[in-house]
Amino acid sequence: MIRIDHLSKEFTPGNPVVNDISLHVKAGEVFGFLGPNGAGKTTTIKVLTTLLHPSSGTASVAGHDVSKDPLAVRMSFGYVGQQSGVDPAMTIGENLTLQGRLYHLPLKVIKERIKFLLDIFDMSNREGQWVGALSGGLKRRLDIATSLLHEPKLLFLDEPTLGLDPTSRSDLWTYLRRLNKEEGMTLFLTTHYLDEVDQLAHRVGILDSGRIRAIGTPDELKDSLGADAIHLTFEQAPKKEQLALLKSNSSSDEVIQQGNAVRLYLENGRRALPKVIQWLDEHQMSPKSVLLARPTFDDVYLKYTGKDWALADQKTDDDSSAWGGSGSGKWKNKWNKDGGQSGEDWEKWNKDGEQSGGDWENQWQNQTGQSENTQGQEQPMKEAEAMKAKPQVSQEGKKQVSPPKKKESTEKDEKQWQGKSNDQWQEGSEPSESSKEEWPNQWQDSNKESDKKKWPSDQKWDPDKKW
Amino acid sequence: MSYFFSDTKYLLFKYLKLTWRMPMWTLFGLIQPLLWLVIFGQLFKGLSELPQFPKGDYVQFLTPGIIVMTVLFGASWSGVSLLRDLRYGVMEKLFVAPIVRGSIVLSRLLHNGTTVVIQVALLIIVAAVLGAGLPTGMGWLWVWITVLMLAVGFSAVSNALAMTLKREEPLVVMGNMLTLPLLFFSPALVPGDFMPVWMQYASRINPVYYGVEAVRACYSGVFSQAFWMSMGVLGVFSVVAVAVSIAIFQKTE
Repeated sequence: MIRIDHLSKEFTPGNPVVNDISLHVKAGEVFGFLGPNGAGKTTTIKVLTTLLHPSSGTASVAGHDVSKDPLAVRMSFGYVGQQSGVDPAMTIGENLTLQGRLYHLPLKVIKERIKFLLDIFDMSNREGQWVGALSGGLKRRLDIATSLLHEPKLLFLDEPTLGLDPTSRSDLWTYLRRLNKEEGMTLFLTTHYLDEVDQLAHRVGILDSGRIRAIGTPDELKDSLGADAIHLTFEQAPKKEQLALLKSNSSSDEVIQQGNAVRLYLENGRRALPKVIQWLDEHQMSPKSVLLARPTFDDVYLKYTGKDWALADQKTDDDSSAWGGSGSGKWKNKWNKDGGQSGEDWEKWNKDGEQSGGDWENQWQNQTGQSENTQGQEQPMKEAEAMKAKPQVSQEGKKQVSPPKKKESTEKDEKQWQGKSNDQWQEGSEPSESSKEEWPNQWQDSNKESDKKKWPSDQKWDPDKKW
Repeated sequence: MSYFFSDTKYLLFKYLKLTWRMPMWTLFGLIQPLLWLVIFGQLFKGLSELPQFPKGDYVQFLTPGIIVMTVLFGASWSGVSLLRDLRYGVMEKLFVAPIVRGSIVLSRLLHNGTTVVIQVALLIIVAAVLGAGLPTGMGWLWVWITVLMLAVGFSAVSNALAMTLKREEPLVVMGNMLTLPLLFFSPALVPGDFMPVWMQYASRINPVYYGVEAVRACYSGVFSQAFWMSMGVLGVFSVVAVAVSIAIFQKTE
């Protein structure tokens, strides 16, 4: 369906925005292009949709070359751009009719298609409504509907869920999935939401600085990292030699360092964890925090670009409202930067904790209960290990955040929870992900579930809403 | 190519519909030239007794000038609505549709021409009531052609500028910098003899100059050689402006 061979695009000579990328997308596939802002996603899509001319290399869509036969290419796809693209000063029906006219459909067919599409997108009773008065989610749906009027077999979506609220976003996913399953539509979408490609895409391409860093199914990419990931945070950035030793001693497949934070990827994390901690203790490198997790897309991204997902997007802070699923990305940044040191953020957290102390207690208690039920024996083991790490912040945390008072709660339990919660914040793993303690077996499911719950209403992570 | 005319037609209908839906704007567009007519008519009344002015009421002298001024001002801001379409992604959506860009440009220019022609029609009626008289004989036909050529030409310039500058602020600056000098380098408000010699020469490369001359001829009913030359210049101007505008749209990525 899409064939890109050695495609490059530069706006100023010597400064390629897209740099020699090649990829093929099959008919019926959902392909996700993942990358931070400025990676070249939009530029690639604009070349494919004939909005930009390639500087070198070739691209063909539905068998037509984009530079040689742009009109034929344009007939073959639907395009949903970053801006809405529907005219706010017209009604829904008028927008759709005009679109049909411009794709040279007879009026009778246009009428039928409009009815069909409005039905699919649950907008049947809205044909006469003004587009300017529609909500962002509806406008986006209309945008997709207009782009489907001429029955294309391929749909380009450039960051389709940008700026949408959580409900609209998951709604949109449902529509897109249905288009793919029921209509056999090929979808080519760009996004900088990790969970979006995880949810929707059959295959993912990771794009960074104009180059494709990796292509594969979401699972392949995650599996390429090994089964488990151990996240360690140190007081000081460890030296390269130390890490090399650590790598061989823990038989890790991959070790990635980012300042004070280190991630180990290995086959059996649970078995390796005690050894790792023991080894670190022996070498006077006791970590501040330890977290054992399944590799996520965050890790995949880290591996292929050498950048933390959240950090990579730091320059585009103004975009963060649109972060949606990874809204905690902002927090991630902060925690990563502060390295868990009791900085302003931590105090803010504490204050928040104080204010809603009661709620917090409940949250934690619920969670503990849950994890006990589902975890059985594995969880305590991990907690004990986490405790060994003697997290620094636990002292402070103890004063402010009430630890869960469980029936058999001992001081040890308390410490475990402190340690654990610190891990989560410092490491910046999605709270809702790590709060799902059913791993490893139910990881996949929990991942999906957490998507629905993960939505922060703003960049601040609101504990009350999260859990 | 077979779809060129239908594409242009549907887009033109769309733009006309949008204009129709903003009656307030259209109304203001109408009131403004009437204000000019009344204000300038009062302001320069005394001047018109000077010997350089032709005999007769100053409103008679002024009306063709105000007609051309309406066209010039109306057309010169048509690029602003292009920026709106660019911002909302409406233009991007048109660019990926299987239509040639020429029809996008042409529909925009024709839309502007149509609205300006309607404004001028009303202006002519009101001016007649004020004592300016009406176009004479074949002037009834040529006045529309003159107005249309001017409107299409200047909105082509405005659209081309908007597409190149892509932002509102520079477009407004450019618009102001162009329209007023163009007006003053023409015999719109005062006879050409008022201008110093260098201005008279400079005004000969100004399409507005020929527009005013042509509309005056339509009112007087005297179609001399100068009139045909004016029409020729306006024709060349509008064709070149449209061609450049289409080229810029086509080149834009």
